[in-house]
Amino acid sequence: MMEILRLLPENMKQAVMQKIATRWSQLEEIRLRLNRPIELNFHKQIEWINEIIFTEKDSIYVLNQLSEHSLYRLEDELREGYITVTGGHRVGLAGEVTTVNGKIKQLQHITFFNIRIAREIKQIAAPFIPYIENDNRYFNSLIIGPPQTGKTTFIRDIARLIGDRENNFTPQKVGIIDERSEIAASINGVPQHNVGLRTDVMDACPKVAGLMMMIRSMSPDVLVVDEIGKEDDVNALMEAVFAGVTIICTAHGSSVEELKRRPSMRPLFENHVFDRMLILQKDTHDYFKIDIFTRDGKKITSNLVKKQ
Amino acid sequence: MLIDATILFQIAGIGIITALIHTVLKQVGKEDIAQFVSLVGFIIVLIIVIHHLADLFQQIKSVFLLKGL
Amino acid sequence: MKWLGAFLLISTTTYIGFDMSNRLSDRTKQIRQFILSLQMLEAEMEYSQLTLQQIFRTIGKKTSSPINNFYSRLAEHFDFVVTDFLDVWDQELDRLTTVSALKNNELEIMKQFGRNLGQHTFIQQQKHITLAIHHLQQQLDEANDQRVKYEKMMKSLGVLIGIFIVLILF
Repeated sequence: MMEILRLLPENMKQAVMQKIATRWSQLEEIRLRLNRPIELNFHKQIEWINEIIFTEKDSIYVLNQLSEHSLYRLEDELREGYITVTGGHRVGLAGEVTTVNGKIKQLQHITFFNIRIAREIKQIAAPFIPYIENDNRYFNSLIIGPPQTGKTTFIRDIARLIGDRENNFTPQKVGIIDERSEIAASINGVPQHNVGLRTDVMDACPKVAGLMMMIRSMSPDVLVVDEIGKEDDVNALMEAVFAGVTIICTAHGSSVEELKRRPSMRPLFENHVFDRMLILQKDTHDYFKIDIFTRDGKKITSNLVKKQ
Repeated sequence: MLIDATILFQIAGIGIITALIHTVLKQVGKEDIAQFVSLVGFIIVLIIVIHHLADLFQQIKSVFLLKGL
Repeated sequence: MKWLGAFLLISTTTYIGFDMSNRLSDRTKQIRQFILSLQMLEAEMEYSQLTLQQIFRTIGKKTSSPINNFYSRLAEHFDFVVTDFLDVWDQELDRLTTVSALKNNELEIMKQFGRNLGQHTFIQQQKHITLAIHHLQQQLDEANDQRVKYEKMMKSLGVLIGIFIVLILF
């Protein structure tokens, strides 16, 4: 909470604290827009702070707090469009972009801020680990779901459960290739989320290079990768599989069939890489549905999971 | 001597110093200030001299007056 | 007693003369240090990617008085919440002017530079640094000219004026 409040100018800090009161656990986003009032997105409703208008001076203040007055360090982040802050929260940025030859050079004037509150939901994957266990190892697993279902939260918990020693699950060495800094939300290489004691993280690293580096240098038992889909990703994954490493990954989609139709993903299915498919579906705001299938398409469990 | 030796040294000293200051300032290029300083030095010397000349004339006057009586 | 008074007077004016002369040479030294510190700033920004506070701390260790204190104090300010960096920057610059031989021109250049510190991406930041260095270099040249001209003068004048006054008052 403090690490988010310190980003705001003094007058806004007070107003936001008053408005949210004790409902921090329900807050999803704080949105700041130039010359507009502040928007607070809770799980179930949207609220506005109408008394305060977000001025340009405020936006400069926020940017300085985000960058610690050192904007020159954040060139990559500006190009990607988001900055990760302590605690794993992500601040999305929008505004005027300058391009060079059609490619984004820089986010020049930042006029929209979206502070997404990160929440670890621990133990959310715990009931399902047994389904992907395979003697002393784990099955290669693919987690499929549409955007915003909670795949990343889920896979984060899987990594933590496998990588921690204290659970009854087979502990393994876990490597996370966190290309978009969403799984571990690292700052300067230090994960802001708990991803497990035996877990190593490659932050902001392209999947292809990261996978190879990890395999060569960190001898992982399990590799965790988020959002695979491109041909290069798939090729790198195949290399990992041939190297004997277990892979657990997520992919955007609503069903296995849909993914099988994608040309880039075909090698994975033709080679029967995944022994377990976990399909996540949004049920209501508080729940998501999870179905786990074996390689042959047999459903072995179906559950409703509460997000809190 | 009616005129104290010290006064001579004083006047000589002021003269020399003024000349030196004049030279230093002229070297730096501030000729106008140099001239000003020389003027000031000259005036001061003049004042001192006149002051003592006045004394001298007083003394002479008193000698003659005494004689005249 | 008179000799003591005379001695004191001449010592005072001589001291003042030497002090003014030193100010001139100090000014050139300090402007040069400032330029150096800006170059260090640029190098740190480019290669180490540290935050402004860390860079200030580093520069504070690598420079000499009085510039080092300027940067160290700036770094210390960041230990607390900095609502307005410009305020802090200007404040420290003003303080620096009172304890150094730096004059208003350099002050203005640095104040202007402060407005662009940490607000841009690296390439733009670099441009601002180069500009500030360029302006400071001009001031350095001017300060150096002044030094060459007046350094000796101040010293000699200090002594001479002292003797002058003593002679008048004798």
